[in-house]
Amino acid sequence: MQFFATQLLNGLTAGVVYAMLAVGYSLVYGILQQINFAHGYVYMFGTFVTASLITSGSPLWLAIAAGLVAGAVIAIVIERFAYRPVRGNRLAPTVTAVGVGLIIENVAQLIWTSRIRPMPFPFQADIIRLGPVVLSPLQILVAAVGLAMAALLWVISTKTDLGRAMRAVKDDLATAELMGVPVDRVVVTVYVLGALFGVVGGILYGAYYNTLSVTMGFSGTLNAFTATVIGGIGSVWGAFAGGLFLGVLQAMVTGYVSSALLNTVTFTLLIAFLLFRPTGIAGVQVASRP
Amino acid sequence: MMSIVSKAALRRAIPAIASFAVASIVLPGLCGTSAFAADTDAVHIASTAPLTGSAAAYGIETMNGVHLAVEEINAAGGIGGKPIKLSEYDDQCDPTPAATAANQIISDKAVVAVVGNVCSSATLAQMPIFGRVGMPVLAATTSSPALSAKGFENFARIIPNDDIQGVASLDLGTKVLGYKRIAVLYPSDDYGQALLAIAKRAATASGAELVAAETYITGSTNDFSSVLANIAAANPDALFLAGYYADMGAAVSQSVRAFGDKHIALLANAQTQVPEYVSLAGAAAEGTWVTNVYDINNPSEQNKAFVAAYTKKFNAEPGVQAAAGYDNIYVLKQAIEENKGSTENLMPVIRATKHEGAMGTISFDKNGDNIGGSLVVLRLTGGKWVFDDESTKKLNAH
Repeated sequence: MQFFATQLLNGLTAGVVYAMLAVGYSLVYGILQQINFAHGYVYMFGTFVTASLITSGSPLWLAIAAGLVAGAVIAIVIERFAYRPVRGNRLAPTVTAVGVGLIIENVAQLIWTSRIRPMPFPFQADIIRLGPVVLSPLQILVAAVGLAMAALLWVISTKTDLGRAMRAVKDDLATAELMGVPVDRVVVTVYVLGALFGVVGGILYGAYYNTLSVTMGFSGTLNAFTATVIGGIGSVWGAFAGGLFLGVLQAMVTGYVSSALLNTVTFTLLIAFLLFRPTGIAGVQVASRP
Repeated sequence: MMSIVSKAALRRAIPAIASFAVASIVLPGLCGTSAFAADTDAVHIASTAPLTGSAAAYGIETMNGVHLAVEEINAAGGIGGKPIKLSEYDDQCDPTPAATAANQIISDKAVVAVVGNVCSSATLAQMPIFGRVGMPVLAATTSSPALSAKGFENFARIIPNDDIQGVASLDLGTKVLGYKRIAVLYPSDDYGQALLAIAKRAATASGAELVAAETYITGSTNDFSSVLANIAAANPDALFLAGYYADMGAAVSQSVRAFGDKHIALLANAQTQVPEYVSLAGAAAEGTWVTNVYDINNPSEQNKAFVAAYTKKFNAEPGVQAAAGYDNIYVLKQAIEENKGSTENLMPVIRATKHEGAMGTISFDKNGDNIGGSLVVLRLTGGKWVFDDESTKKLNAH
């Protein structure tokens, strides 16, 4: 029981991090039917800004704010120069996204080198005992941030004009434009929102696992992308569900089956979902445009 | 006309080459600038090591050792009067770029030998390519037994292989420190699989039990919480860290939460004895035991000279990677000198070479494995790797 609880907590913690990153994919896909392959690199860059500021002694709040700003600024620049000129084309944004991603990774390598670095954060070595279960204050922080971000997303998408505009653009971009929705501004906001969730996820990741590398832009988001597909790409609630599901599943496979089978199970599941339930847990139907 | 002749053919036909060389001197107008023109003014050596990626720290340190040796040798007049010319390639510790690097190296006809290899997976991918032209490979710290077991005729390496090293790490835990329940954390690649097999064998042989064996994917696993929970649940006395420094650093840093106040001793192999492991793992790394094939405190003349020169040049203490890179070049120099200055048919001469280097005695068996070195035991104490004389003596006595 204690072992089960420990693995469940491990899985949920990883799941929240996956969910934060998955939201970035799903937001963009839900509205533009485009897989934002640069997302992983944006989250990596923002996280590195935060980590390097923490290492150089900046106050924590300033480091986090700077990371979020960096992520948002890069998202705006990418949208303006790599995505907007090719919007509407199904293939071109994928190519420009990969190109932009490589540029970001190389710039990050020039600034921070390719060495793997720790990310100092409060409470990293602390533990809390709840009966037989050992808990980290950081796990509580991860859960709290995850809940807060989900609430924020709910408020934005249901209670604000922006949310309504996002739904309008999702339903039909051209008609929304005709109705006076500022499509360009809505699209850029969607990218920025995705990037902010990504950087939040990256900071939680760095704080909890205490290890960062510039290559995590690609490898680190493989799981998040799988979570997106499992959850139902295009649905932000699916992204949360997929993230938590995948995190817990991986912890349970490691705990009760074998760590050697982790990727086999993960990617078999991905293939199974793609074959038998491509709409994911959320069962999202995204109308395809001709 | 000569450039279309493959290197393998050239090596097999030395007499023909000799007459060609004579011809090229006698009839320079016919041959133009031949590939051999470069050979006559320098000894061309290529290096392949990870200069970027997750194992970059190993590769860069190895290359520091290589650079130091090349500089010293060139300042002292080179090898038989010819300076060493080094071309560097980045294999990223990844078989795909490693194969690309190997193909680039063999297309450079001036190269006489390859040095610097750090990663076993990368080198395994390269050996068949180098084998095509009979290119001698004198690896630095690749340690997978698979490399020598495959019987490549063009292969030798500076450090004792994982069989010897892995058995020593386990023996330190079981025979010297008396631990009975051992857990292993290993990467899923060739290197990790080999170490796991060795750990199983060595644990059984010394009467201990392997209570947990957990794996991860190097370069993509950063969350070790679940595997660490498994290890904690198995109640081991000691955990054998059979992976790369960055992964082991992250895992040990996260072990504080997973292990709680359980005391589990950490046994590590040579890969972990780098400053990055200590900075990544933080306070949790304190007390880590390492068995290695090199120690900076080795009192031999060769090592003292190497440490002094290295510290002066790089303002940092050399580790096993640097020492292996350094000895790499000197073994090659000695072999070429023993081959009367010729760089033809070099591998048999390299394997017959006995060299007293910074690492200790280097000599090779019929598969190119170094069987001359002895092992040292160190312990991370106050954030520094401290030579443990008593354990070293006990380990070498077993």
